[in-house]
Amino acid sequence: MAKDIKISIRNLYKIFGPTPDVALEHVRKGMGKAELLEQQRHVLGLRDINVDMHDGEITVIMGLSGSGKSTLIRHLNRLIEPTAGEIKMDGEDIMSYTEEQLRKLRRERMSMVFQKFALLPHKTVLENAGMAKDIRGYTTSDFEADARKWLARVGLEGNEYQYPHQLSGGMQQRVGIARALVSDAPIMLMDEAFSALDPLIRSDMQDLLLELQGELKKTIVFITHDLDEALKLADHLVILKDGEVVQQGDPQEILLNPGDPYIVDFISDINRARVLRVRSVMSPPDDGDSEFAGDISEKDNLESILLKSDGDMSLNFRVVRDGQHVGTLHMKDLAKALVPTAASADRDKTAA
Amino acid sequence: MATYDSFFSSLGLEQWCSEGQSSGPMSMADLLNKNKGESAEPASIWELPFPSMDALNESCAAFPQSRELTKGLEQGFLAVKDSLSLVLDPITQPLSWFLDGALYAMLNTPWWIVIPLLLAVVYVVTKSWKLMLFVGGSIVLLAFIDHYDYAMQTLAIIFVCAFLCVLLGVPIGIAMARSNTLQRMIVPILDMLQTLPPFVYLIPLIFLFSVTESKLYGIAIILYAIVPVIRLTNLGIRLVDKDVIEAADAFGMTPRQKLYKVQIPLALPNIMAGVNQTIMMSLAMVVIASLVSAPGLGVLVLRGIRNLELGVGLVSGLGIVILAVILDRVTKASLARINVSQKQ
Amino acid sequence: MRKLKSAALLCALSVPVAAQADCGEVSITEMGWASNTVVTNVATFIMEQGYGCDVTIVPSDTVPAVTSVAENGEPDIVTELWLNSAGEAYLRLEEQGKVERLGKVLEPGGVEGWWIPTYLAEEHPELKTIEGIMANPELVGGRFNNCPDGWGCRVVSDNLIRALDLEESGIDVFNHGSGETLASSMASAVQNEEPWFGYYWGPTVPLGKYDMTRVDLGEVKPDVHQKNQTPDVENPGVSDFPAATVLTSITTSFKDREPEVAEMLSKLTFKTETMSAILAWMDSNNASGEEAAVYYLTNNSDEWSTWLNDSAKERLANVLN
Repeated sequence: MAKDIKISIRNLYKIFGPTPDVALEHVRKGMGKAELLEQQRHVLGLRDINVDMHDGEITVIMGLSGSGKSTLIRHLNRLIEPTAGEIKMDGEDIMSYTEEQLRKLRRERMSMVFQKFALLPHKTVLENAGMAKDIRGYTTSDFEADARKWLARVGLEGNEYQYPHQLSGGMQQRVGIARALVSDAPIMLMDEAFSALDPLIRSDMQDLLLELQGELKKTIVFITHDLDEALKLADHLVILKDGEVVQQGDPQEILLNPGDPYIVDFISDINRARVLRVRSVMSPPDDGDSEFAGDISEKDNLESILLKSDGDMSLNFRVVRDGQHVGTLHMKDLAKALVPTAASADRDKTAA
Repeated sequence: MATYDSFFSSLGLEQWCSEGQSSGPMSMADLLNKNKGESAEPASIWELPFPSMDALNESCAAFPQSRELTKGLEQGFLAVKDSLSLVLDPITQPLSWFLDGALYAMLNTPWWIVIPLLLAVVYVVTKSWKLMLFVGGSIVLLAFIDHYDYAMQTLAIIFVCAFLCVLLGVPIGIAMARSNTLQRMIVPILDMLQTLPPFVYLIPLIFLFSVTESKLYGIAIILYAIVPVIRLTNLGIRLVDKDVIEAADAFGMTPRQKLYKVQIPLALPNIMAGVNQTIMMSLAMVVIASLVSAPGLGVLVLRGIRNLELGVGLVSGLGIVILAVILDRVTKASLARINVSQKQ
Repeated sequence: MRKLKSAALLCALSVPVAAQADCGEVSITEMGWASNTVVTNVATFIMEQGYGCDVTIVPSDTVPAVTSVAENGEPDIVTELWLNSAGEAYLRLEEQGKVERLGKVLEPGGVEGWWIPTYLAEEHPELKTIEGIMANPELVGGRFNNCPDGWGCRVVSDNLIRALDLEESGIDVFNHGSGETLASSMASAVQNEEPWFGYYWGPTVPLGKYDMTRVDLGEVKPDVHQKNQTPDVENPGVSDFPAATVLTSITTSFKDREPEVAEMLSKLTFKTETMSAILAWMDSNNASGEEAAVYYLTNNSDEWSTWLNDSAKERLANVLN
């Protein structure tokens, strides 16, 4: 899938402190985060970040608190200025932007959803949804239809004239999403957008996001500390630790081939059957095998196949995309894939 | 002769000292000593005078007395006074017009227009019939005991001064909120204005402006009452939720949009609390302002104090309390309305 | 050992008390204006040093002092009591026998009146009479500087304004809030040679310092003036201010207690012009009231020595000679 690169980050460094340039030299020479704090009184935010984010994909940046993920997403619209490095958007270097260009970028090409919703408490839901348009100089009557449409789309029909404090957290974040959608920007930055919500509501919101993304094909950069959420949403997963990228790529790939003990540790607790998908473990189409127990989609997760097979490990399934036979799933491979990572470390690379 | 003679002689300053001549008048202490004969020398260490300017002057006539300091200050002020009032006089002139205009309008509009108008304003800002009835009752009571004119004069002065406090104080508060340097510069001034006894800054004002002009007391009230609205505007804007500010930035608001669409509306509860305090403080200044010829209830209080007319003093004091309660309730009620619509 | 030390300490600390036992505690008022500070300080010095009294100075004002005497019998001595300001209340106290007037502290007495600066009077001689001023209100700046509310003169001036119909002639009446603003309005007008017209009284620092001319309000009619002292009197008349009687007054109990001091106080009199000179000196030397008292005591010993009895003269010999 060779999609266009929408956002490209190269050699990005961020150091917090009074003289970041001096500290940068030390970091480039290999000084670690703890050492830097000890000796130079500077905090290492990000070190040598290189990430490409593709058009129409959800790129999830995952890490624990203090890993630098929130810092990273704020570089994309320059809410935080980097110490060194370059950020390109549609091929343009946004570091060279003037204030006016930057404002245009933030107004028209990007929108953002925040962990704490960050709605305007003195404005109605409708006005909040239209905030981006309002900033651009449109009047309420100009954006009202649009705002109503998106509010309805996120399930807030009838709440237009309420104030944010009258809504629950989940509903407020729906307003936040509607606000991002009304702005019509191709890029959507989501900073721990669902972290403040209850697990059930969070799951609903994830489904809503995937559903919307299916239609809209925006370039979404999603920050989270929750691996399940990351695996559920990500087309491209970037794992950050202490300001550095530990591993990035297709989430299934990372799950099956973790490149770092840190990640192994991280993924040890998750339900692999629910996260891994058929396409990650299937073999190429093989005409020799004629005994198929049924047709499955490459997007199905392994849990559903297990259910279908009723636990019979001798079965084979035919993997079909748009009516075409694209591969074969052997239940044996499926079972192997479910073996926890540490034991499967030397297993052959499966087709991606 | 005097205690610190040896100090000056040890420094070899006798020559310099003897050149000066003590110009200060004789003090009561000198006279008492003279009466007692030559027991002038302080006998024991317990009576050692602090080496103040006056004590040093006794030993060394060329050393200035502290009266020279106050005199010097006075002359310095008088020297810049003319150029200062040349600048300040025209700038502050509109204040006189506002005050005179408001007083004229309040007193020359018939009561049957003023009272309903006031009540209408009360209703519009508070949306409370109960409060409106309370205010109406209070004003009618004041009018019934023949304090209507005085109360309206006081109200007119407070309206003008509080309005100007907000007009000047909010922008100053906003500027302070945006610049830490400015905040560091202004906060000591605000502290000074708040702690300085009002009489003290009345003195230079009396020198600067004609005492017969109403701006004199206007400035005195404004200087005293502007402090809370500046402080709370600054605080309110600084306390605006960082997340909302970030959202405003992320969606590309200009600084001006941010100020008008986010910071001021979100700081409004704090700003209104400042306005409430500003109004209360201008009311507190009414009596003091009467000393520099402000009309209103304060004049009656002064008369009560000067002639010990207990009744006059009590009734006019009660009038001030009633005005205070009215103004406080009304501003608090409108503040509460803002708070409700702003809950996070 | 320790006891000894503290005893020595006590000795060193003890202030030499002016403890001639023949006079006890005396309280005396000090009013807010300059001439009174001089009077009070002179009287205090003589009472302490000459008669051995233990004097407490009570800062006060005319009406509060009179009220306090009526209610509490304190303070013992009220100096420089302007009879026209103290009003009925004081006369009632005299009738009740609570207080006794000792004589005029200012001779011939205080001056009150409406004034204009002398340069204005010289330039426009017609302004020396009230008729001239009312005919040319613009020459005096179109404003009359009235007394502050609560002063005795305010009532009289208000009644005079009504009797003269002053406001009809185009003169605004500006009611000052305090004596300070009244004085500074006069001071700043005179310093800038601007027109000024208003009430003032003497002997005071401003009248000693600035050359002012009194506006002739016609003849002095004591009965009309008396009537004008009632607020909002029905048909006020026009009468110039008579010379004000300024008294020293003491409580009768004090007179019984300290007859010698009372006798001295009854002789305590300043010539009005002497007082004006002291006040002018005070202003030009930036001196305090206490220093002005010292100035008077050192320069006018022949005058005040006549107030004393023999024993006091002896005690104060060092200063007198």
